[in-house]
Amino acid sequence: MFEILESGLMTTVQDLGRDQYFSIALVKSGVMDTFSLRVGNLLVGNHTGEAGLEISVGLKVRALSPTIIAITGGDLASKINGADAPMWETIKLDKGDILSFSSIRSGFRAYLAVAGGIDVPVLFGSKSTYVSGRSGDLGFGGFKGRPVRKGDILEIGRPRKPIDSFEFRKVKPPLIPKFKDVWTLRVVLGPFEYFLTERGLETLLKHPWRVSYRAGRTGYWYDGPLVEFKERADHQLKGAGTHPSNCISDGVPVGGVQAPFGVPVIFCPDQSTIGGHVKLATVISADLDKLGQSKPGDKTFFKEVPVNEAQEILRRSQELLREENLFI
Amino acid sequence: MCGDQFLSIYYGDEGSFEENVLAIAHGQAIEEARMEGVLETAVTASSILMRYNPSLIDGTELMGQVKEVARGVRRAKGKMRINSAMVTLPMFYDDPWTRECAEAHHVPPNLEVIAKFNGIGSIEEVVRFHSAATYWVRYVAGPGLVGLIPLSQERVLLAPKYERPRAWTPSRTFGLGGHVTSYYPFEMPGGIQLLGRLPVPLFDATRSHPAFGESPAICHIGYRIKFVPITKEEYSEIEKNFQNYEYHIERDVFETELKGDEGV
Repeated sequence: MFEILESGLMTTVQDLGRDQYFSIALVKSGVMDTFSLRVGNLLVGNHTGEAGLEISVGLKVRALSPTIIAITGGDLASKINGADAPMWETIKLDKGDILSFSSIRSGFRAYLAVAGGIDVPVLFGSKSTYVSGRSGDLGFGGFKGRPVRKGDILEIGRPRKPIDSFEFRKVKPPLIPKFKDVWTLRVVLGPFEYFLTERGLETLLKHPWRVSYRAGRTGYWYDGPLVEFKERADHQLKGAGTHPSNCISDGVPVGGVQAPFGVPVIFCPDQSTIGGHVKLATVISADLDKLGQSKPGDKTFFKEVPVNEAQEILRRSQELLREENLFI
Repeated sequence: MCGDQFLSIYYGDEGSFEENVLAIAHGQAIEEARMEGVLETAVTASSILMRYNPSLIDGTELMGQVKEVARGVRRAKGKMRINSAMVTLPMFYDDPWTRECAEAHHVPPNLEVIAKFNGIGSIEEVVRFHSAATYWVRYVAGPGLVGLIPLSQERVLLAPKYERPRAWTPSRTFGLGGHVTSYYPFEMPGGIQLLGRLPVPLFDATRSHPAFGESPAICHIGYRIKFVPITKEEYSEIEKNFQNYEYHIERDVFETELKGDEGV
């Protein structure tokens, strides 16, 4: 069990989210950086999709029982009882140990994987938290459908093996992602990039975008010049809005890029599955984890790749996740 | 193509009923075809989004298969058959909760707004017109958030949106914006004129009632809906006995003749 001593900016219980619910337009939720959660889970003997904590800076928790954990993701200066805690390896917490995440060194979100997983009810096949509402209390799933708060007690599931028989493992250093503050997100263009003028498309693909301070688990907004659209054709539905970025709402996957009124935004796991603006591009699956580690103020370039290349990159990134490849 | 794991298929950009029917019919045919590598198919107002596993099937090849299925549907020559259902819902029109909500947001009772906007003399008449129509579930915009258009209506009702959006809307309410009737499953912000409240939910994540055994949603795209006005007493009675309430859902096939020859 963990007791939340300080909640920090926002910490939620997340696994890999809910698939198979597009037809009832249910949000996916789940971690913003899947690689970090999966690796963390492997380090503590869980299956890769077990629920852990997605942590923003400021979280402080106390272990109420001996626990096997791993810290992965962004480097938030994690400490155990005030001393630097190692990342990307299996560690054991004793009863009473205090784990804190005090400042951002690199990346944006840290992950805490726990042997046995965080024990919360499974809703629609997932333990992920969907955070919604101005005060964050209209969501569902995870721990009471909201981010954790001071005083909360998080239960832990049954580890796969007794706590003394754990193997302590480390991720091979070259496989540990290095998070900087300049990013290149590869995108597959389409289906509606042709709604942009030539100049608009160039703006989208050439401008060094700044991650906006509005960026979060619902969407990543970018600051920069407006992306220019062509005039809207006469036959298009008038009720869909005045700006040519509008369209009849359609399904949008996580990673979908729109530019409502010319301002780029990428759909993230807590965003609705439906959007009312044309999809200009989609971030390739293998780069979504990078998106999750980019932070407000960071610079981002969008780079076009063909779809078959994106799929090849995805295959290679999945290979990397085999246990025999990952650990020392 | 929509990224490396999704396909988007569009049926037009006019937002017409024809586009909607085509998308739904094709979506159902695609599901029935059970194509290798397809993980999910979701139909929206005028399009379909498909998720596939790129290591099992190539996107371009899948697109070819989808077009093949679509051709099969079109061969039916204008006549479309859609797996549908007629859902009859008890609605407490002009209920005290939506009235209270209007008052809290400093706007007149919303049914009065609708009456005035359509030049209709009384709230009772608006209710009569609204409940006389059969509605078509045109889209699902979020968990439980269905958008309905009238299939047949003695008199078309239109409603303006709020000038300033509402901070909150009571749960289980229906409202009218433009000619679209839509549902608020939970307490949430909103901006369309409220009509009334249901004594029972149409979406239940916890599946607390046997009607939600197959799906957490009662109403799906391509279903038809009829509203039956109920009184305050009936509302309380149904709400109190929710566990014994039987939803009126009659599965059937909806047939319609399509004009023109919209391509994919």
